[in-house]
Amino acid sequence: MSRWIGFVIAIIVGIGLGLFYGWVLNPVDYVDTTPDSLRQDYRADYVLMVAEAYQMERDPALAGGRLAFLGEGNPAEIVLKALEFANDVGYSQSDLARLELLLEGIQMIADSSQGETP
Amino acid sequence: MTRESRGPWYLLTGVIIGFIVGLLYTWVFSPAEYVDTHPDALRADYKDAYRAAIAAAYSVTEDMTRAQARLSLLNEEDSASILAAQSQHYLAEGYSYEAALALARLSAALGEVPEPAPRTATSMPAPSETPLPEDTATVELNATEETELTTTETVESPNESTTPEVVEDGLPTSTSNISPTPTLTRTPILTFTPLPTRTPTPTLAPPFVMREQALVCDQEIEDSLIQILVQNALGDGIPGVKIIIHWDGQEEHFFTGLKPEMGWGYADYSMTPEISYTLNIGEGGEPVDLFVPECSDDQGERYWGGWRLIFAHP
Repeated sequence: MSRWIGFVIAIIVGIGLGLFYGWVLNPVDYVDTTPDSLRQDYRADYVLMVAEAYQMERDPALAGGRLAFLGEGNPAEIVLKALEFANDVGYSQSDLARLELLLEGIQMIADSSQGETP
Repeated sequence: MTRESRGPWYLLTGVIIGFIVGLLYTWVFSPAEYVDTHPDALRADYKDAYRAAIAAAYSVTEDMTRAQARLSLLNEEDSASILAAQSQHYLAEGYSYEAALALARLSAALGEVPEPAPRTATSMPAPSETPLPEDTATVELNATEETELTTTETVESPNESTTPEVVEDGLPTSTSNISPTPTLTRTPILTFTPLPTRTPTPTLAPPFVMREQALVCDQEIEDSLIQILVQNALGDGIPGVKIIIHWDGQEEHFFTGLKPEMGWGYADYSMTPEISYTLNIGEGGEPVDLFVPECSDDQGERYWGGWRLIFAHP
């Protein structure tokens, strides 16, 4: 009986070692990731880049194409999330204004495309 | 063999079985989480798109410090040459000319702007030592690697507030203990505030002028090349300068710096004999008319040569 107890304890110790090795010493190394997994602050900064370019270009379609980089979600929602994050962390007023301008443009193109849909 | 004489091998067997089960769990069933990644882990084509966005934003704001901060997130050495190469690639692949131009301009601007001073914790003024006016951009840089390093640059921005906000979003920063989510702790979070002294003033550079035009007669060079060197006033090569070449109603654009082994300001173009070319360097440069020259060797045999042109800011 004591041998079985020792055997089970040994397995538990082995599992512990395996978890330590797999999660800590040699975890799965991610490379070649996709932008939709970017952390929220980097996503928000990317949206800000798009907004900065949009400020001059005023091309919602081009901006929408750039926002598609962040995934297949609704571009307006992507900008809205970035705007919320920007408000939370205290982006400057000029950057917030850029993001709002981009949001308006993206919403405008979304509205017009909905209007064209029969 | 009795049970006693077999010794404690069953314990080792248990440990090995447990270890394998643990590995299976961590590598297969519940691997480290694949969320909240850093831009430097992006796939190469996504990095290209990221760089293009940085360049597009820079072309509007001309905020070099912000562009450099963003490029640093990609953790690449020699961003200027990477941008120049991407610009040329975009032109070759038929991407929009504006995108290629934005990349080339950022590359050129990076080539002219000195590298930012190394950021160390001790070299930065404490935030409290620098009172900030309302219009001051403040961004914190928290780099969390094996050992925690927190640096803060606080600088006054004389104009509008410029804040490349890539800030810590409440993730635990302590890495003194081993974290169960190691992919998150190796992520440096880089943000910093522009130093006014490092911010380039957006002034128009004077047009390049030709300093030297030399005939190149070298039979080892197979093509009839126009070899172009574009330099600043100090004689350093400038990458990312657009060169426009015209011939017979056709036009082609290319950029300096795409052959770094030849120098940052180097570019070349292969001419076809008996065609006249007109070359323009940068914006507003004086056009240069060229044709394929003839050379002759010691025996009097003729062959096609090339040109070596050096342009510089006056």
